[in-house]
Amino acid sequence: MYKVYEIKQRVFESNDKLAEALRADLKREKTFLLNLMSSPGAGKTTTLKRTIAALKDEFSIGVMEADIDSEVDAAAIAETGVRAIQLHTGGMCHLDADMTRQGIDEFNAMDLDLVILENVGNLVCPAEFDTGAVKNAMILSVPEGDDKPLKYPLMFSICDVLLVNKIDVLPYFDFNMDAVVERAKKINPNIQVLPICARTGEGIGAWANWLRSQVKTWQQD
Amino acid sequence: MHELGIVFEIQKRVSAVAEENGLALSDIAQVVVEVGEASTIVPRYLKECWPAATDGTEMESAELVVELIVARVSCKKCGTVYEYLKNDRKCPNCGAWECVMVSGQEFNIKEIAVFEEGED
Repeated sequence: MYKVYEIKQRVFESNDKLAEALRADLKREKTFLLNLMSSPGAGKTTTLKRTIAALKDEFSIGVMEADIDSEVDAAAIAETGVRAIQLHTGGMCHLDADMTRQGIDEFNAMDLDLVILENVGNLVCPAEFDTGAVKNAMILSVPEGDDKPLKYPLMFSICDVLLVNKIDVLPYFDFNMDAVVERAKKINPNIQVLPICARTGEGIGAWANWLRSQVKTWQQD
Repeated sequence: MHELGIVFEIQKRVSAVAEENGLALSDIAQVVVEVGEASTIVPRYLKECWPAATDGTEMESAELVVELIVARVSCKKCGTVYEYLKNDRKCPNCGAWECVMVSGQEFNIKEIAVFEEGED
């Protein structure tokens, strides 16, 4: 015989609760957490290095590198002089709020203004799990194509800002910037779209301004 | 393999729910989840991943049952509520594309069935 227990709870409820709790702690500590996502090779690490260079005189910055199993990115970030830690997801394709919390705890004394979480390169799974970040950003690089908002709507729907990277190669690709903006805004009317080139530094100023104002808003009561 | 991570999340949630209700994980016969058609979760993959996640755990004998929830939207122009995928996303009444999701993004644990001996 069976006895049936009615549950009616969202599967992601545990993760969402942990994420909310983490955000509340971060608010108290005045630490802004940015979750940076993209597919592999879109330029997360290069963009991060530029971002750090633009903001490290104003903010104390920490970086959490999420990777399935390597230290490559953390080593690259450590060269910039900010605190970088490597989180291994142990084969998992995304980070959840619990893993993010462990990373934040590893920074120990939470005197950081800005922590950037470089999520696993993937446009699917990271969109499903709230990490506890204050804002979500994603990078779409020109060679990936302008159809990505159509293919990965969930990712575009949860991001506050979309960085379109590698704009220096626009002349060589059939990439329609207007189409990307239109497709992204259709899914998420509030998304900010900023064209950048992490290699040359083009557009990094506008991106740094966006991030700066977000951090300052978060730190005010 | 997006569904594998999700299956682990179901397992975590079921463990928490079992503890709240004083149930032993090894007594769970069935876990019923509701998956919306527009939730980005593929039921077939979910079912395929389930044994991989539960094998060798206390939940090994539990079966995963997936119930699909149809994606329904409400047309922003004329207010008609229609089945999103069946109508190829377009309002069957006025032909507009703009709509608001009414149902179909759910991902819930609906119920858990537990083995019981003797009494009914």
